[in-house]
Order: sequence, then C-alpha cells, then structure tokens
Amino acid sequence: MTIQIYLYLAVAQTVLSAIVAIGALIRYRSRSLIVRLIGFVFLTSFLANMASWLMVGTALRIFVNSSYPISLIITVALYSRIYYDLLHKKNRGWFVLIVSVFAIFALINILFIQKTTPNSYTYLFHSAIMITYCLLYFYMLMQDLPSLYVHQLPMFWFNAGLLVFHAGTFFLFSFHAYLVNVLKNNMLIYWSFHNMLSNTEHIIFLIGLYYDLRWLSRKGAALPTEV
Amino acid sequence: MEGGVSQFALIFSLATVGMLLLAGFIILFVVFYQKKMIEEQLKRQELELNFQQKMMEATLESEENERRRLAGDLHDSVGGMLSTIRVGLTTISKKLPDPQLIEQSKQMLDETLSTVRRISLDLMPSTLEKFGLVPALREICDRVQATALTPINFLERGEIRIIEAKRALKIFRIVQELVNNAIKHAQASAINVSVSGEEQLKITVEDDGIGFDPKVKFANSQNGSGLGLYNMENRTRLLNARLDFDAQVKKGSKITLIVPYETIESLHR
Repeated sequence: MTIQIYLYLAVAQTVLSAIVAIGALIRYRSRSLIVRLIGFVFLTSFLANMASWLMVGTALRIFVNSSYPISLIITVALYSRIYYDLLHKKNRGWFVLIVSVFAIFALINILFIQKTTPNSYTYLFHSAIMITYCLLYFYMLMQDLPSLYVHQLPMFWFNAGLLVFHAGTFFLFSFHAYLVNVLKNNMLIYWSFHNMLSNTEHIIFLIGLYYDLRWLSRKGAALPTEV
Repeated sequence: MEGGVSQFALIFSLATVGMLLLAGFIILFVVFYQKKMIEEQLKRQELELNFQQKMMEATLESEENERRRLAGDLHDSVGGMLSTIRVGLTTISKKLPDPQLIEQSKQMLDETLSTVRRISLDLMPSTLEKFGLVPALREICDRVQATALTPINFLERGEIRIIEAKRALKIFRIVQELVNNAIKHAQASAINVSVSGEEQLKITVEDDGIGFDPKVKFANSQNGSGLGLYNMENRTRLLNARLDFDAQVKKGSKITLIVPYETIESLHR
C-alpha cells in the first residue's frame, strides 16, 4: 500500500462527498427534510476534508486531525435529527442527550486527551451511535412494514451505507490507539482501508439519492418519510 | 513481538470482516424479510378479495333466485288465478241483465293482470333465458317504450356473441338499472341504447336529460344511499368489466358498459 493509493482514495472521498452533497441539495424545495439534512452532512464532510487539504501545506498542519472531530459533532447532530424523524419523533430527550454527550466528549478529547493526533475515541463513539441508529431504523422498518419494497426507499440505502461503513471501521477505531502507540504500526494501510469503506458508503448513498430523484421525477414530490 | 503483531493483525482483520459480514447479513435479512412480508400481505389481500367476490356473487345469485321464484309465483299462481277470475266475471256478465255493471271491474282486472305480467317480466325476463341477451335488451326497450312517455331507441351494431346465461343476466341487470335511472332521474326526452360487440361487448345508454356528476354518485354509492349504482359496480366487477361515465351536467349523460370477450365464456352466434 503506497501513499499514492492512500491519497487517491482520500481525493476520491472528498469528490464523492461533494457529489453526494450536490445530489441531495439540488431541487432543494422538492426534497424531503431527511434528504436535505443528508446533503448538509456531506457538505460538512466535504468542508472538513477541504480544510484538512488546505492546512497540510501550512503552519496549521498540526490541526489537520482536528477538523474531522469538529465536523463529527455537526454530523451527529444532523443524523440525530434525521433518525429522530425516522423513528416516529419519539424519545426526543434521548436524542438531545446523545448529541450533547457526544459534543462534550469530542471537545474534551480534542482539548485534553488525543489532542492533535487522530481522535479515534471520538470516531469510535460516533460509530457506536451510528450503528445503534442504523439497527433501530432497520428494526422499525421490519415492524412498520412499508408499502414499498425497501430497496426503493432512499433511506434504506443511506442506512445500509452507514451500517457498512461504521461496522467496517468499528474495530479500526477501537484499536487505533493501540496500533499506533503500542504496536507502532504504519497506519497507512488502515486509513486506506477506512477511505475505501468511506467511498463505498458514498456510492451506496448515491444509489439512495438515485431512488429519491427517480421518485421525485415520477411523483413530483418528495417520498413521504412514513413509507 | 513480530508474531504478536501478525496475530493481532489477523484478529483485527477477522473482527472487521466479521463486522462487515454481520452488517451485510442484517441488510439482506431486512430486504428478504420485508419482501416476504409484503408477499404474504398481498396473498392475504388477494384471498380476502376472492372471498368478498364470492360472497358478492353468492348474494347476487340468491337475489336472482328469489326474483325467479317470485316471478314464477306471480306469473303462474297470481296471474293464473286472476285469469280464472276474469273468465268467471265474463261468465257472470253474460248472465246479468246489464253486463256494463261489472265492465269496470273487468277493466281493473285486466290492468292488474298486465301489471302482474310486467312485474313478473321485470323480475325475470324469460326472453333472456330463451333467446339471449340482445333480444332481452330489445324487449326491455320495447316495454319501456310502450309504458313510459320517453321514446327509447335500440340499436344493434356488428356481430354480438352469445354470452353465458349467468353473465348475461348480470349485464342485463346493469342495463336495466341504467335505463330505469334515465327514465326516473334524468328527465330525458329521448334515450338511446346501443349494443356493439366486435372485439368486446359494448353497451351504451345515452340520454339528453339533466346529467349528473359521477363523483357525487359514486360517493353516494359508497355511503349506501345509491344502492342501484352500488349493485351496478358490484356486477361490473364480477364481470371483470368497465363502466365508463361520460356525464356532462345539463347536457345529458352517456354511460358505456364494456365487457371484454376474454372474460365472458362466449360462443359465436
């Protein structure tokens, strides 16, 4: 695994984030709130990537690893809003608590624990939250039995993408600190694997957006959240 | 140390692959579970629909059987007795010095007899059983023409196939209801009934009356106030046919019953 492949994957990830953001935010007024929020999630991700790219060649390069945890706070808040809607707007307090605890944890981690090194604990916490949301959504999908086949639901694809990415990277984030600090492993291969999974996640999201746009062009209105 | 690292890498890889497989399994499970549930739901809905259709068919059949029984009783029993009474009255009138005394009673009896025959025919048209759908439709138009003030024209176009008796009866009832509606509610000055049947049986009942809004009528039939329309809908559904309402308020109405030949067991006439 060379640095070149890693960089290609990282560039692809940034470009795909921009494509997903554009795909979710075009025809803004006709889109459902969920798709709009997905657009903002990927816009945040794109901006965080761009910030890192811009900081690499400057004196700010020590903060390269800080832009992602900050973007994750926004991402968790947006995803929590999405899943709050999807899970029938119940237990609002829990969602607020999750976002608050995550934000506090991420800030403490960035300021006092992992500081400028990759904030793997924050990523791990983020993955745990996202896996929980994904499983809850799938459980709800089986309970509610939507009138459409699930593969026609954009949110099914978004959820599948998130589950694949976070399940795949869960152990990477779990052992990141151990791999770096104790085993002194070269993390390039692990981060390349991470980027590969991230690109897969983006492509799965694009499938979801394709279904959403197809529904939009057929019916002229956003797909209702309930189906 | 090297061995420990490679062992750790193996465990790490296995755990990650395991997580990915688990995620894939969950996604596939949701897809197949939901697919299976939807298929079961569709199957259940189909069963319910079949059951409802059979119930509807049984209800309509028992209704027709009851009509047949009533028509038979009226024609054979009541009609027969009235005819006997008429013969008796004629005999008595010959013996009376002034036969005009019971002439009025005889006239009333004649009217009652023709009413009984008409009701009997309305209940179960013997022409339908004996000669088929088209002659029965022509007869209904002729009878309406004879009794109502509204002129009614009957037009037959193309080759009409013979239709199985039970289905023909359903079609007959629909047309009977349409003609009755045109007479009772449309305030029409003329009614046209046309039958054509080259590729599909097509019966049109057209009038120049006040017309109606099909949406309002259908809403009424749903809440039970338009029983005639409700029965027509049921019969149409059982025939796998279509009832097209081409109604324009104040410009009359045009209703077409379209029965595809594939759905009716038919023979060439």
